Amino acid sequence: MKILWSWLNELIALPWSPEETAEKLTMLGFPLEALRTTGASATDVIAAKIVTVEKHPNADRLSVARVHDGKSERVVVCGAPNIAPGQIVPLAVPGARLGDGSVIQLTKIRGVESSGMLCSERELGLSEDHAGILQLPADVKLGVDVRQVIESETVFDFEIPPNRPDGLSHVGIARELARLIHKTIERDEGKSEKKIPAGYGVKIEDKQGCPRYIAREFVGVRVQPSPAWVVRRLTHCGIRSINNIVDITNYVLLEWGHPLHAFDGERLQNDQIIVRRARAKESLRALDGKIYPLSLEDLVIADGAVPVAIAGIMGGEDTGVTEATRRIVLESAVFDPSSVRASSRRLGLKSESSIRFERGSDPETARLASGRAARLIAELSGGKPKRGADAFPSKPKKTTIDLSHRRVDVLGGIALPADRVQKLLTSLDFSPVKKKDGWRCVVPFYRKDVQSDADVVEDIVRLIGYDQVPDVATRVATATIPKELSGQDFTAVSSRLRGFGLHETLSSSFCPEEKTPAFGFSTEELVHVANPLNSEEAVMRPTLIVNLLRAVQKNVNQQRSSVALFEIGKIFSNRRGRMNEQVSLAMVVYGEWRRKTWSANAQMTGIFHLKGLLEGLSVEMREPIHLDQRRDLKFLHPMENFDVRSGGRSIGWAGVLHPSTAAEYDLRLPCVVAEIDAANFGRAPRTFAEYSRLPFVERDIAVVVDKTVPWERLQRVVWEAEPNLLKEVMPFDVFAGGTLAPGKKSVAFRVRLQPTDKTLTDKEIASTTDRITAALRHHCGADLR
Amino acid sequence: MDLQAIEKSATEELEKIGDLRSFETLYIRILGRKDGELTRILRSLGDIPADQRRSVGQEANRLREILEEKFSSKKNALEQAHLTQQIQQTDVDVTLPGVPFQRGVAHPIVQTIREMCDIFRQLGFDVAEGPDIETDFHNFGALNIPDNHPARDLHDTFYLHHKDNQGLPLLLRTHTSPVQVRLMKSVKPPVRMIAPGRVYRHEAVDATHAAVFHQIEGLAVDIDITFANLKSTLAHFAKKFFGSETTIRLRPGYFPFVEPGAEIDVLCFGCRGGKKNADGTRCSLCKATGWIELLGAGMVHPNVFRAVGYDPKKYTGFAFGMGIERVMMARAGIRDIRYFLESDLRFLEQFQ
Repeated sequence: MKILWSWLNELIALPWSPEETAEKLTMLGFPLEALRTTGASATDVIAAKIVTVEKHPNADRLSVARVHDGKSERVVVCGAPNIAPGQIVPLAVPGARLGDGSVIQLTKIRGVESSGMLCSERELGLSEDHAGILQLPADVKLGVDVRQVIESETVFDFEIPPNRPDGLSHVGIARELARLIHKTIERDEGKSEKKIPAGYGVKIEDKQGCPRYIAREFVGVRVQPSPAWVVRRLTHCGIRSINNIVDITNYVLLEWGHPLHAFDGERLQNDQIIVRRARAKESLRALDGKIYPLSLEDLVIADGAVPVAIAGIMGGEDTGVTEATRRIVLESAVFDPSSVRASSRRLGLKSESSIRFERGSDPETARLASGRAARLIAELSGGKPKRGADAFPSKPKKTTIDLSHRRVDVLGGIALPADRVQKLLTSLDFSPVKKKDGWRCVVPFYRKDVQSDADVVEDIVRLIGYDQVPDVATRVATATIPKELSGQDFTAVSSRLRGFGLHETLSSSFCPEEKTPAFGFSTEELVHVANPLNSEEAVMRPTLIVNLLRAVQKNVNQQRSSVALFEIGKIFSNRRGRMNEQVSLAMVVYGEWRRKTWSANAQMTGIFHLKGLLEGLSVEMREPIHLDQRRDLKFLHPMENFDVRSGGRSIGWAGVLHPSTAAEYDLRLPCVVAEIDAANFGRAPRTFAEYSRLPFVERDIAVVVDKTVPWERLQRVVWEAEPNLLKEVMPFDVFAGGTLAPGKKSVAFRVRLQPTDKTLTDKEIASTTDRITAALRHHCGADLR
Repeated sequence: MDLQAIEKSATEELEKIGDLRSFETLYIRILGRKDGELTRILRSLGDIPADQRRSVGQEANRLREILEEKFSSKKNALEQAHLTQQIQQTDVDVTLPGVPFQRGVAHPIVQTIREMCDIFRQLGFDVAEGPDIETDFHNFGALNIPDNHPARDLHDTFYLHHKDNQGLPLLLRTHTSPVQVRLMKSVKPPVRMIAPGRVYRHEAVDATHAAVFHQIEGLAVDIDITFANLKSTLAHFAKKFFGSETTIRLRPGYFPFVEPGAEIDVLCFGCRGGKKNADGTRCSLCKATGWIELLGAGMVHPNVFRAVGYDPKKYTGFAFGMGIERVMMARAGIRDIRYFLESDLRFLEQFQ
């Protein structure tokens, strides 16, 4: 909300500088967003009157205007669409320096000589508005420097919280400041035109939708440009001047925060206003020129026949005020916030009016705003009040709130004596009545947001200042988080994977749907977003791997030859209409596992790096991981993959990315991927087993077996042959071909024997290795090499 | 050969020797067990007439001791020289880089969440988590944001096609506050919770707005929890997180689910509240206000207590919520919120 320093000071004389004032308001809950002193910074720009406007002979979008600058006529070429004969506009003459520092010169534009330029607000250095040429008030003397016409002004922009619609006005902001200096604002309620004439036909059919409707009729109205001071204030607040009547409604809106609307009285059929819901197939061409089809829930203002305004949102074009208007009907009404909000959303139409009605308006301010506008209409248009109406079917009861002194202490966190609270409440217009242990407060009419004692406490603390609240440490009291809300702690898992050299990342919860079928997801299994920002983010990710591979792709495109990432995050699925979310862990290692250095060669990543990572992660799981079966997943290499199993069930997959999947992500080097259900993480407290203090013995054994015999079987046979002494079995050489018979392979491994009660003798060692080789021969057809 | 000649030649030759190999040859020639010149004399003592045997024997043994001593010290010197030479030969360019031992980085958001949770855990807060997919009730209704409330404008929302059992569309939570509701609905006071998590806003994405980001929520409910307790808790947090010289500022702020509501600012760590940089230019970190907006907070609104079945007359509580990316951006000097979910190693690797 833009607030003008001059306007504020007209309502209340402030003892502070603009900066100090902004600080006070920030601390009152209206934070400053911007503060600037405006004024036309351009030089040698004068007021000129447009005499004629013609199309440029050589350019469709340009026009050629003759302007009078008070002394002589000039010809200027102009690109703005909004110029017409009779307007007073800013003219930059050759030599003028504009707001952005550029200098105007005599030039030819498409063959027509232009001796100057007509200026928008931006060119004058007034604002960023560049939509059209700025219109100066009609009473400006031609030839004067526009800097004399557009006086400098300090403009604040405050952020107004949505519960404080009263703050969307100069009066509201002035009220907040007035309390700090124990004053009440000048031109306050009561001085305005109190009496509302009768006799105009206003009927409210929907009392809930419209608790009050005040109409005032004026005759003999002269619609003309507004005086300079009105234009100036509207312009500074970001509102374009239209004509004196429309400007008055906007002026009062900015001053009192209450939206008004003026109808052309001649165009209202039967001289009648009816507030009702729209009927089937009704529509309205609004002031923005667009036609809005109305639905049965939309509240409208109708005349004797058709809707003439969408209540609280926008008036109709047909009944709008024009230069020909002589009789107007001024509306000041209260509309139900949720009804306005629902219509505004349904129609996709927002306005300064709807923003305020949505936040809540009140009948008393409606009356005050109507009176203020009536006086301005008389002053600025010569309009004479005639008929009027005040339809106020259900007068609201005053809201009272009982406030206990204790609540002030606790919710406010600050101990205040009773007489201080009493004074603060009075200053806040709560009209407190002292009762036992507290007060009965009456909520002032302009504070719709105050509904409970907590709201009153906030106001008290606001007025004395949040910085006055002391620091008091909380008593210690712990509550246990129930199981369904206690998340898992992945610190140890993350730390382990980072220790292995993988970087942790986080990616979006959305993913492109077209990437998911490759990983086996059908559209029914996906969680679709009803209103996605774009088609790339239309589903919730059913797997982490898609975004992880996209992350690798992005990094590879930035010349990375190795990328090792993991993510722990939620994945989402639709399980027959039930939305499921669970935490998943995925990892990807692409390209070089180790880069080439001066001391070592590069090493490409491969399936056994992945297996090692998962085996290393196994200690963080409730039950160990087993990786000795394959899975049939089309995005993995059909030979180089694992089913990740733990506790007797599959908890995920791992493997080399299938070359054709890899190609889709521009991955030309080897890439291994894995994804597992993170619910399986959670280590048990460690226990200790006494270790042997005797020396161990190692022996190497090499056997030749059929190629089809997997290592897993060989090592199982070894373990079964010597379950007591054996501590470790580690293969160190596997090869085929050479002198070996076709279909055969040689496997060499080292066994470690660890005695627990006495040192092993050579004889015992020999008998153990003999038993192992015999078992291998018997169960696996192995020959000793 | 007589002993004097042996002594002379051995001493002289030993003097000249510069390498271990010639040393060995000389040693064997003089003192070799099989055929050394001195060994031979010692071994042939039996052939010497008995009257001379004793003195020659004594003399030969004395010479052997002397020579052994000389050879031994020569050997030490030669070995030392050899070692020195070897060491010098293995001289490497120590300016070459070391063998890399690389540890992966934790994502800065995860690091920050962990750091924040640790601070609040010390104050007796326990960590809770809620779902990303929420109901209208948990995200809005129970938090005093009824349908058609203007505060919903502050929460541009993603909806799913699926509806909850009230017939309202499921949505992606717009803040972590629904975890407050879930917790209070399942346990009785006292309550002290911290809830980090991912939140969603249906917003055009730019340098300061993300559609997917993270928040951390705090809640404490008990008999007589006061606004002053809120201030104390958050002042403690700020000092732990931003450094002990930090101060915070409370000012009124509007959030429908708290009353009184507050915005909490932390002293700008760029200009320390001075609004200007060291070179006199305007501090851009705090936009020359001296303060950085840190979080929203307040006393739990009585309507929220009613919605979860707590007696608003008996209990009071405070709640707060903070955007993790925003805090991180201010503390680490990150200018664009989009960096966080882009997995770009040029970003991640800076958070070692």
